[in-house]
Amino acid sequence: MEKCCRLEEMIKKEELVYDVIAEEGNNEILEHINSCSDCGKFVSDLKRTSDSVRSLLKVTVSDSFDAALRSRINMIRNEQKKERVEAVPLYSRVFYYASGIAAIFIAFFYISSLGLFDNTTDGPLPSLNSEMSLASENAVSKGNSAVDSLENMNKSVQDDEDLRLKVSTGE
Amino acid sequence: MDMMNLKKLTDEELMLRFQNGDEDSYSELVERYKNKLMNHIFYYMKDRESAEDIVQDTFDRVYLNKEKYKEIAKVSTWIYTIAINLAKTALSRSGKMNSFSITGKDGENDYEIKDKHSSTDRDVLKNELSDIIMSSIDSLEEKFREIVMLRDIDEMSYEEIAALLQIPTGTVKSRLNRARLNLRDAITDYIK
Repeated sequence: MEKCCRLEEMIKKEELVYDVIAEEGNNEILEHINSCSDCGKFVSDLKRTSDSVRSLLKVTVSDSFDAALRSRINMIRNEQKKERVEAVPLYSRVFYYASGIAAIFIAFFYISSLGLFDNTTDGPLPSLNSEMSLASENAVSKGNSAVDSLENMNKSVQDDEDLRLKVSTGE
Repeated sequence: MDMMNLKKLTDEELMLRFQNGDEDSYSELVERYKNKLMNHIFYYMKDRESAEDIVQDTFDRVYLNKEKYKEIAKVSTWIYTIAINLAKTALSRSGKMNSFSITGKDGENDYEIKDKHSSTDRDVLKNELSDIIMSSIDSLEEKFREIVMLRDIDEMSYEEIAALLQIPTGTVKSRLNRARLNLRDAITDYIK
């Protein structure tokens, strides 16, 4: 008996696509496959071929893939940032930085004008200036008391000397 | 939006969010495609390290050229196109291209020069059957090999393959038929 090649011929002539035989529900073809052992074998060989290709081992990325990609993306980001800065003309950059510095000075003078650095004791905390003047006053008073005690000592030595002179002269 | 909700978005929605500066959407796209691309490109390069480099380069390009993506194409098509082009460039530079073809407009004048086997990293293709299947796929003309890989390894639809290769869906189906018939002849004795 001659081998039936009906399906093989149809596929070779591109009248039929193996994948869509079942999908398209072509009853005539499906009935032929069920009744013809040659065409049934042909279709099952094609299916096995396709399944074998699908069963090839799936290759996946290594564990270090994500970290490596992250570091590459960070590098790209940094380069993009650098390019963005370099794309700005020099005079614009100088103006930008000068504006920043000017803003700092203006802020400083404005705060100074509010009197936050003045020597006042009204606030809850004594200012630095008042602390310093208090310390210097203490130092002056401490210096004065030292002079006084030196004078007292001189006076008592003088008194002792006078007394010794009176005794020796028999007064 | 947290990562759980990003998983519910389509590729195209993720790409739109990424174009508007959402880097988490980019990470989600990487997560969706890194293994698919690796699998596809490995069978091009036959070398794990080179394949991974190509996949990294692909995601670099996606990051750098996000503005160039237009919604008229599917994101998968765009990403695969970048990856395949990079792989082909790398192969031609290294002189490891399995075959090259001078193809007429209608595809009838094909002059194929095939090598026996390019240098291969067979550590993941240890068993003999896989080796035979891979050798059979390698021996196919490039236009057939590509379609078998996209359909059977990457499990793409006919429409996706057609968009990716910029050929009609009918041509995809007919090439797949031819490729499967050739493969059947080569491996049918081994898979019984």
